[in-house]
Amino acid sequence: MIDWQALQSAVHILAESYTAWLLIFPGIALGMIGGAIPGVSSALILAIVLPATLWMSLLSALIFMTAIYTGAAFGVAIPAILMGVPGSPAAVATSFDGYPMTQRGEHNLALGLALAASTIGHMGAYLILFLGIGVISHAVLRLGPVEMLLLMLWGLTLIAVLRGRYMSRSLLSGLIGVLIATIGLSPRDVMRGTFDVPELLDGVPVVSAMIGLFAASELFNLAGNSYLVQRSDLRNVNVREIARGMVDALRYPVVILRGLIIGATIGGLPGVGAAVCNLVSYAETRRGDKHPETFGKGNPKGVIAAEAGNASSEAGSMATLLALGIPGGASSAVMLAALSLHDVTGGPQFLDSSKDIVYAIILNNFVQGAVMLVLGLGLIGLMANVIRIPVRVLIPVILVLATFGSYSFSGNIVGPITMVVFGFIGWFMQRHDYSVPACVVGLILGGKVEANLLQTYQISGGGQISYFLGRPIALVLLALLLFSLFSRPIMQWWRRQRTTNVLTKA
Amino acid sequence: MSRITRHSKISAEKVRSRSQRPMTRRSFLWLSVAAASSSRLSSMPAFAADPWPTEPISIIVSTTAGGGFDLMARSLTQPLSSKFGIPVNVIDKPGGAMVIGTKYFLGQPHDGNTLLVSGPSPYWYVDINKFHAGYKLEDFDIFNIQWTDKTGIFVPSGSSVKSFRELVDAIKARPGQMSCGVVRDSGEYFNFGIMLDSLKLPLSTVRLVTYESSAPLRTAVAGNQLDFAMVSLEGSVTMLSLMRPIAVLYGSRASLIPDVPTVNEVLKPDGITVDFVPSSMRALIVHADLREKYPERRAKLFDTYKKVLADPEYIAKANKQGISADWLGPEESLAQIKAAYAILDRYKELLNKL
Repeated sequence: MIDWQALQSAVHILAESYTAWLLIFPGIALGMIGGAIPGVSSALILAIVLPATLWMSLLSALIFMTAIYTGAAFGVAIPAILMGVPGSPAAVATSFDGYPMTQRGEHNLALGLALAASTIGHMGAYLILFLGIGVISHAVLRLGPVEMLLLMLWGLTLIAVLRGRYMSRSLLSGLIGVLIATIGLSPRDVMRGTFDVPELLDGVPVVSAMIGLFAASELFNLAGNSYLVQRSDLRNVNVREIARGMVDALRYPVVILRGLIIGATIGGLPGVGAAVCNLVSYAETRRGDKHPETFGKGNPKGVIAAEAGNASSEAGSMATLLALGIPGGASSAVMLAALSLHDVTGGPQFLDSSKDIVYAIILNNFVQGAVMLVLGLGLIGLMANVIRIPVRVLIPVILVLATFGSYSFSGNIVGPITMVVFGFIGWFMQRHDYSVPACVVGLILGGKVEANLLQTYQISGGGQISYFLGRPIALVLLALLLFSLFSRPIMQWWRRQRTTNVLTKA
Repeated sequence: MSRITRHSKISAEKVRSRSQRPMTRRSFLWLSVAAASSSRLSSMPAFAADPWPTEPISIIVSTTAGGGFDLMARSLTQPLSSKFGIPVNVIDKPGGAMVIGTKYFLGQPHDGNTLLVSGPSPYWYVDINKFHAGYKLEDFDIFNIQWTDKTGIFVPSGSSVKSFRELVDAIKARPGQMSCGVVRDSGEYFNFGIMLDSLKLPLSTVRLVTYESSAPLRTAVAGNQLDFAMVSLEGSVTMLSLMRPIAVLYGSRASLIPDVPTVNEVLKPDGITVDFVPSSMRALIVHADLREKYPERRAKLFDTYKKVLADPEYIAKANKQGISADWLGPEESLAQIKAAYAILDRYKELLNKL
């Protein structure tokens, strides 16, 4: 299971690269602060720092980015608990019980619970990744173009089904993303949708488009408010109380373990990510509890379940990113871009040839967990001040940073123009309840979906059924895909049938 | 059919005679080249008059960072920079089957401050004839094809096919069932079509699966997803535990895997000779009009680059990274490109059906 030689080499690499260690602190701090600002997602912070990783070694870049990821996973819980405004969709479930605790004056306790659950979830899930990555590396070689295609389609539909109010709109968002990704030279050597603009020959610059979609959709939304924090008395922070909350969290190991396993599995599914993990973990804990009615009214278990779920999703999405080359969410999509900046395509080959780097990342993340515990304790007081920054100052600062980021990425004005255009698209989509993350995942996976569709057609001899019947994994994935697409409408139809039956009988 | 075979024999021999030179020819070549260019070196005083270069020189690479083209360009920056006394940068402009980078290079001032590392064959052939990129071979002054790849034919390590002969038999026994992976528009993509044609098999005999780049293709062979693959040999050597080479489609065996025969060695008893184009030609290129506009600058660039390629320190460093430091010179480079284009032209009708 564990490749000891690679592990030894990983320890060696880590011992030699002190910059990688130094980057943990700014990474976690940046992630936590950014995560604590509603509207600033970890994906956005990662996208902004992405050009800077060009000047780092591959390992340093990945450690810096996972540190941001780690920090942000907890950071998003802070405004969710203090104000009932989740820092990102990943902390939606955290706010369900965290905010009522704050209203009761237990906000320090709740923050402590969240920090401990986050840290344990993070480290535990990386332990699973550490033990399982060898198995994954051999299993992924079994995935041919058919399986990859179905996996990506499943990811695209899952994010549409589980996110947003309207399934059809989310599916449409994903489809729009895929269509935008088809601009440029196709895998069949056909030029499409470029309108003879030479800049579009290689398609829409994905990273700039992504910065635009996220930054604008979330920041423009925020611009409607004149402040981030309404009540200044909520910002009183007592470190001793937080520490008590951290110890309290240890009293619920089952809740943490459940969140950890859910996070590590669902977080690994492409396109689902932390946003779903924390909801599923919360829902499962609530379902299994003796007093489900206490949830939503300030039950500490709710906070723990949600935080353990979203924190452990990082390891899950890192597993698919490194082993399959598929981003599990927007954040790992940015990391995929960082990988390709260093000319590494995540995937079986990377896992096979650079297992020492993968191990180094995992080992480093154990340390990141410990650092987060200390930094989190210290930074919570400081971060309350970040939330005091007026929106009218905060938004321009972030937009300027994002513009610089997209410019330095493309090296010409194409990046900023793409960012602005997609900023408007993102804003429009958000306004009309079209899922922005679904569109981004579509945009990122679109090219791969098409290439794999073509390969599936070619390898099966023009779509011969016998080829698919001989591939059990593909059939299972097809079943999952159909289930995620049609289970909800079928359930709804069934329920409606039953109600009408009951009504007619009555 | 006989016409095709005759043609293929001639050109295959041509290519073979060129490629059969041993790798150690560099020192010998350098001597002869140094003698030939000594007259050019006498124009050295002209350099003193023109202080160029005073600004940083950029090498445009028409692929992504980290690939063979990019590696080759980056290997040249340090030695060129120390000889010129100014920074030499690499700018990667990937996409559109090398059209984007190549067009970007043509759009830069033709003053010698911008160089290009690109693939005249087979990529430009596709750009010019299929994508109507708008440029032609005459727009470029190709200094040298520094690095030419060979095509390797690989099967998964667990495959029941043990040799190229067995592969051909298996293809004939199960027409339309075997799958072969290639990178689209690469040398292998065309070599696949030419090879099947030489074996008198229609293209539909093998399921051709096209990939965007060689890394996922190699992963697919390693994972037993494909029956065989035709892929650049040099980059595949690190994966020999997962995929097995059964033949080399080139004029000579590869020094990295000397036990593996060439396709034409195996097919010799059948009286078949398979034509091929080199897997990938990686060349250093300047603008064609530099020769008239700035003859001194062109000479200075040319001589400095040639000196770098003759420097044992550079050769050792480059070879360590798997980068070749061949010196063919402009005339021989152009001749090889034209030979490859001639092969692609000859099979145009067939290759359009791929």
